[in-house]
Amino acid sequence: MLNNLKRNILFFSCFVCSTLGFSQTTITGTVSERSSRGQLNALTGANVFLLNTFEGVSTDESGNFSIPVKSSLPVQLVVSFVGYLNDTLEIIDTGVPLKIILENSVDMDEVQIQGRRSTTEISTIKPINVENVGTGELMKAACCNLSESFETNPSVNVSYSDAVSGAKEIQMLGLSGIYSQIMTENIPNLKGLAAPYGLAFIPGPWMESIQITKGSGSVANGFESTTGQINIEFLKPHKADPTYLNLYAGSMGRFELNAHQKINVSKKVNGLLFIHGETIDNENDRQNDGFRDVPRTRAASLYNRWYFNNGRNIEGQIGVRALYDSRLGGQFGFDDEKEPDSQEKYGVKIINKRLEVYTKTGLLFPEKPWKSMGLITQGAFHDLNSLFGLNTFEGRQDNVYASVILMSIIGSTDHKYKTGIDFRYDKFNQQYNNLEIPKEEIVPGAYIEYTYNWNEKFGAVAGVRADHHQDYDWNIIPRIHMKYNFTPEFIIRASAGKSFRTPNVISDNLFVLASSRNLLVMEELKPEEAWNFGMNATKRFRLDYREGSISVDYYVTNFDNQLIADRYSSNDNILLYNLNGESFANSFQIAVNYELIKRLDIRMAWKIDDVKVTYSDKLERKPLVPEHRGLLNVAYATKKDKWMFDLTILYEGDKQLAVSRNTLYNDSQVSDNISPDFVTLNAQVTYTINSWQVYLGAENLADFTQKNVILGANDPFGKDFDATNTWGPIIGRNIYLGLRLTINNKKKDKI
Amino acid sequence: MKLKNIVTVILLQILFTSVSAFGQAKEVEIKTSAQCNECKEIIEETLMDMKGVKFAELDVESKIVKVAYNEKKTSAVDIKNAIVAVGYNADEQEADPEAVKRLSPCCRPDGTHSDE
Repeated sequence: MLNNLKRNILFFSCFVCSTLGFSQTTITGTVSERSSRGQLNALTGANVFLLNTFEGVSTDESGNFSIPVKSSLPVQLVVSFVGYLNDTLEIIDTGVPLKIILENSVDMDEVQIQGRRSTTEISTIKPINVENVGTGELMKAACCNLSESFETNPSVNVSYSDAVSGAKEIQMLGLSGIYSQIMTENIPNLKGLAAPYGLAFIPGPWMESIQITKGSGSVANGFESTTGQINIEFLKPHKADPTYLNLYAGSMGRFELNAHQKINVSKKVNGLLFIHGETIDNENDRQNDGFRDVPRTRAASLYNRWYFNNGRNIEGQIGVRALYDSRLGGQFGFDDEKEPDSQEKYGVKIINKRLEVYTKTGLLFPEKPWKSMGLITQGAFHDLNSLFGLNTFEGRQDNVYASVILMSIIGSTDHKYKTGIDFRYDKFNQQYNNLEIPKEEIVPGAYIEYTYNWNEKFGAVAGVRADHHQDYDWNIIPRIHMKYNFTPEFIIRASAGKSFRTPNVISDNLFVLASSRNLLVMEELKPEEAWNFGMNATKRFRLDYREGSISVDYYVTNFDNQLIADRYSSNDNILLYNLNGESFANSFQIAVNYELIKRLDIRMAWKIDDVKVTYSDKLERKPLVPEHRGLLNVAYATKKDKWMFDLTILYEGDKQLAVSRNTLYNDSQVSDNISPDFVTLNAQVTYTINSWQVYLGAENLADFTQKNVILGANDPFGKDFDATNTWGPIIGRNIYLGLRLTINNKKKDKI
Repeated sequence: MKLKNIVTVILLQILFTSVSAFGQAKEVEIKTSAQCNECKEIIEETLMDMKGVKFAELDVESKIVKVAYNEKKTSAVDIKNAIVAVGYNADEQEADPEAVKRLSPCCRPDGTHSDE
């Protein structure tokens, strides 16, 4: 990375300055690396160029180079080579041949990983507020997929979207997951029909890391992210352990298998194959309401990815993901072979099928290492079949995405830019009961994003994009992020940005199927538009020799237009209309990380979300969003991480329930349609021996659950039936045991 | 609401106990024969795993390791002995020759890997 340039300033003893004036001179020298045995080896093909003129040469077989200088000295000379850290030298004299030794970037990375380092990190360098959740943190949530990996993270919250489908939804900055953009390796993903169940489609052990960006994010990824972006990085063929196996069994009747295998074809081509299988068989009925707490689940997915490079200037990737996920829930005794209207039992049946294919091609310019071009394409095909009692929703979505990106600099690496054009195509064939809802969207767009860096202190990323939608014409989305480092340990960031989103009425509100209420569209629905403004201050400190950090956030989201799903104004319907009035989400968060005593890390966070929406002319609390949330995570590891202990305590404040204003939610735990606050506890112990890891854990250790999760459960086809008010845990304590086997070839000398 | 207060109190308590638990650490600087990042890692990890050592950071260029420790639990002599035992010189003490043999080539004194 060019912005990581180490500015080595070399002063060469200068006998008599013979190079004054504009006469052409030549810089000569050799570029080499140091082998792990300490010898110097010449590097052939390293790039050497002058920073201001962009004139460059490559080193020959003996590592020698010679580059003419037309401008006056001093000049800045940059040396780069794939796999090594770039070096920048300030040349004030050309009399002495240079001896440049590049440092191996792979080695540098390794040192960082080996060192004791927090498993979740907030950068104190980048202008954009990005939190990185690494592999260590992902392992704390032993089960099982993306939706469950945020358990130890305060920024993203997870809850059940209804009491019958087992679907989980996230909230970020107090707003539902549909307002955060989910990406897999920076490709927008899991939109539309995939959104309601999408978080379960990404198995935890496949992931290498997750990046959580708060605020509107980069324009390069599209116009949609309102509250933030969640990017998932999968394991990479060149970095992953060659063979990996994970088994999981939970007392809730859940079994999982995850595995991956590296496929090395040659130095230039390597691949990775992932598999995932999952079954849940659970006959529990904790609430004694005749309904399954957890749907019977059968799921399998496969992912095969390939990397290739020609060793010079082309890198490519191709990947295919396929998944099948079927759930059967509802009342015990429901026979999924028979027609739903021919039986008395209320059944829930959801089948998701998805296929994704993507390619990424990168074009590098060996003479201009700061420049690159990329082409990304993705095709995603999703089938969703769902039945909730007598309600049905069936849909098919075809999605195509293509993007061309160019990255370069203006004059020096302090001014970088990224520009590109992209294209989105979505075709929906949907049927909600007897209503056909086709939808087709063709959205070409273009953007430019400029990144400025001053003295490593001040940085800004300013971007703007324009997209053309066939129904809504042009849309201009500006976004800006700024940072200022008072010290390398103390950073303040600010961001502002707009977002645009066309709602997909049914899939955005799919929970509605689990109630007797109907969706009633009151007017022609307009696209959603919102502004997000945010501030963040992060300070890293060292207290009694141990490191810690404290981070404070305040984010405000204001909607210009929003699709309102009004669950308050009518007994029989959920009203859908355009925002008429105010709708905002103000989110404050304070988080502290500290190594309290040696090898014992704590994380504490408190979050306050003030989310209000105008429902039929009244500004009211958004349902099922707690105002307060707290998190305490304590992690302890013995020497060499032989034993690891992890405890998480989560606090959730009270919530307004989503029932109409003149109805009282009938539950001993609930008063005045306000749910009680509660605490849940998760704990896990991991033991490592050679290549094996065994973990034992418990979710919801205190065994607290919501008592009445389904209103009108005794008459599921009646008008009072409602399973959409899940304010608390539905399932009780879950004890699990898991096993990980990692087969790792001893690391050999690297290039 | 009551729960919220309890949680807040617990959180504050944890923070303050940590602040009051500050031992008076003693700092010492020891010149070693470390010569690369791998050596740095070995020495830092060995020392951090010792009882009573709060902090250890080695600067490869100067070969000096800065160690903070609790005098009641360990001593500078013990720390030096631990460095010697994994194969490095510690001030005037020579590295254990047996341990040196176990080091990887880049960490051995005869390896040409010196960062000048």
